[in-house]
Formats: sequence, C-alpha cells, structure tokens
Amino acid sequence: MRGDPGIGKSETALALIERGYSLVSDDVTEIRRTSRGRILCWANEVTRFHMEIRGIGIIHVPSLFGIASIRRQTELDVVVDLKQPSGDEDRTGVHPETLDLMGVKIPCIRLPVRSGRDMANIVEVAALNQKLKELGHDAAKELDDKIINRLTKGRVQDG
Amino acid sequence: MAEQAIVKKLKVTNEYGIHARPAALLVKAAGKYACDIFIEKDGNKVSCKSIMGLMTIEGYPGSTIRVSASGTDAREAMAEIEELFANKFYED
Repeated sequence: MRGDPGIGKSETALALIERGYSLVSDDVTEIRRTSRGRILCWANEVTRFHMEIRGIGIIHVPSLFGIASIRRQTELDVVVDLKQPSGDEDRTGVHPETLDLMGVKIPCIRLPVRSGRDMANIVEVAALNQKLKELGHDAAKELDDKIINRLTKGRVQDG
Repeated sequence: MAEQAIVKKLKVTNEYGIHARPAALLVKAAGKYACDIFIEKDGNKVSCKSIMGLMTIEGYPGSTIRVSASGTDAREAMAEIEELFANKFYED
C-alpha cells in the first residue's frame, strides 16, 4: 500500500492484520528482484514488525496480535495506491494499470479514500480479485467480452 | 419547480456498442455534473451514472438511444455526452 502521509495506510494495515492477514513492513520496505523475475520484499531489520499509529505511537505487531500476524518476507503481487478521490478512477477494471519496479511489471490499483469507507475491506477485495486474475479468471474482462458478443450480434444495419 | 429535461436521441456508432469502456466514459462524464441523466432504450431506463446499468441497456452498434438530462447543469452535461457519442467513444 502506498499513499500520502495521513491517508490511512497504517490504519488499513492494522485492520487487515485483525482480519488475519500478516504484516511484512511499515513505511520502509526493502526489495530485490529475484532470478524468477519477481519482487521480493522485507522490512528493515531494526524497525521490522513495528508500526506507527497516529494517536498511539509505536506498537510491536506480533506482541499484540501473535506470531501469525507477521511474516519475514513476501513476493509483491499487487500495489494498492490510496488516493484522495479525483473522479478519474478506474470504473470497470478492464484496462488495469501497472507499475515498473526494477523492470518487473506489478499491477497497480488506485483506490479513492473517503471518510466512512472501509478501506481494509476494499483492499482485501482488490487483492483477492488480483489473485483471481492471476489464476486466469478476469471477471471484468469476461463480462465485457460477453456484452461485446451480445452487442455485436444485435448490430443495427443502416438503411 | 422541476426544470424541463433536455432530451436527445443519439446514435451508437462505434464498432462494439456500449460495452464496459464506453459505459465507463459515460459514467465519468455524467458524474462530473449535478443534474440527473438517464439513458433509455426499448422501455429500459437507466441512470447514466451507473456502469452496471449502462451495460444492461443493449446499446447495439447502429442503434439509437434516448438521453435525458434535467437539472442546473443539464446543458453542459448533455454537450459532453453528445461529444462522446459523436466521437464513437474514442474507439475504432
């Protein structure tokens, strides 16, 4: 997750941890490109598994949530950008954006943040949907193909 | 007092009709305005601010649909919608 300071990355991460997901790092993430062309991420050794939550300060995640709430490293599958609403968001997901990290293309999802929106829920759905796409099931594209097929069959000829 | 709605009949001229991409463009354009905009075809009327709605109206290539806009900025909204139709949703 990326985003401007104060947009709610850490709070969203915390809510995801409470849902059973695990933290790799907060704020500073070290990455390298693997020989398989993937991006591997891990935390800075000194600060790892700590998070800063506004109003509370620094917390140690595994002490609060248990050892299952952290992992030492992970491969990067998707980047989620938390953004102020611009009105220019992707509405269908048919043409997803990507990001170049050390020559590796990573799917990048821009999520508009509004007060009252459950961002953890939405980030979770974004990540699950991305996983589904990687398994070959792209719901947005499949629906669009189905509609194009129907529309083309119903084409109205001139004259 | 309700304002008189602006109504136009517009022809779908792009290759594939109103599928996801044109629907998204329509929703983005309509979303910029405060007025109500509806798209109507064969007795089916949907909001121009709903992607899922627009994908159900069977906007076949070559077909004609009815667009109505009512509200303070209806004129500007209609102009932008018309431009999308006239430019084939910038496809083809």
